Amino acid sequence: MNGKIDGSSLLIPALIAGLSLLISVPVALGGNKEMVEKNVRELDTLNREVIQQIPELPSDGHVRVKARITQTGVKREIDILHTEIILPDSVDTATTTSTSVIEQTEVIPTETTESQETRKQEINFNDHHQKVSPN
Amino acid sequence: MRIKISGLLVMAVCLVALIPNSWAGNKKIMTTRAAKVLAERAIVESIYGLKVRSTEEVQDMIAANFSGKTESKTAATVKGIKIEEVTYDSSKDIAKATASIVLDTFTNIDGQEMNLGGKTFRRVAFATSTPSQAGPIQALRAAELDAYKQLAKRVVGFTLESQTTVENYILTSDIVKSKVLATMYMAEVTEYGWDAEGDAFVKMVLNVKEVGDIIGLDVIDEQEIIEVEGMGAQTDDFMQAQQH
Repeated sequence: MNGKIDGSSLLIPALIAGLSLLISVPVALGGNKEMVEKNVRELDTLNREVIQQIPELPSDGHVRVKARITQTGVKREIDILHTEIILPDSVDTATTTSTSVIEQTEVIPTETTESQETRKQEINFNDHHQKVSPN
Repeated sequence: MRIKISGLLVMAVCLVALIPNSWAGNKKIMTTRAAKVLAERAIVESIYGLKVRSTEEVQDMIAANFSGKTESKTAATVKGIKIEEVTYDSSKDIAKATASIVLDTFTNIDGQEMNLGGKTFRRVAFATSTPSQAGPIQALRAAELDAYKQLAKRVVGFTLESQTTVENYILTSDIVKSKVLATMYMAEVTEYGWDAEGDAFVKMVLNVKEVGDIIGLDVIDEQEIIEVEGMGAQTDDFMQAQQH
């Protein structure tokens, strides 16, 4: 042992450093991007499912929809609460106050709508007191 | 002379090695205390329950235009929570606490009297006082909240609002929003951990039939047990991708 540092003496520390880097790489690969992308795909699929339940869907136009999604077992239930269809020609004439909007608001039974309203009132996130039970 | 010098050196090394112990300070105490408090909160969330509010919105189905937020809130006075076990990793400054409680009756977040019949609830929590070590713990909490959100969506449902363009019979989703607001209780964590990439997962279970029996209501659901898996990340590569 003469105290000199040659190439071979640096090999082992270099190998250790390299292995450490390789081990730490998987941790760096994690993140929320994939989770967000999965969420976006799920929202898109669900929206398409909801839209396809609307009767007389036009070949061209804009559709605004509000739906309540519930799940019983493996079965998903979609209650369309509000639908608004704007046809392309109505968009063209929108500036002239002429609109041909088809509205369907009577899709959901009244009692369900009431329960929605009640739920909105009862769950106040800023209040300390609330009274809402699952289903 | 040489022996004396080497003896002094050994003593000096020993002294240096002992200094960190004598300077231990309050870090361990603070970390373990935080873990205990978080374990107690987990117990409160399990038995008393919590409010969960979540919104998600995406435009043009582009992940970069996605925004999602989940919030939780709970507050209750609970007596009888026991801290069963506390472990502390001094190298990482991470503490793990296990809390438990045995209850006969309890009033939940909805004001319903629950007949628990001596059921034992047990929850685990982690904490650290070192910000650089907080990543995995934050990811675990994010996964926990994601699991609560998924349970809420399954139990009470959620609202979906969208503006969609149809062109030549082809659907193009323009704006899609989903909202859920609910109270959850009696959810149990069955499994948790981190995958090889450092993302956390929490498996949560809600026994619908048992909850129905406890609160004295017939809860109608084809599935007796609802099981969900929440995910949480410790690095925000989504925002990083948006910036590039």
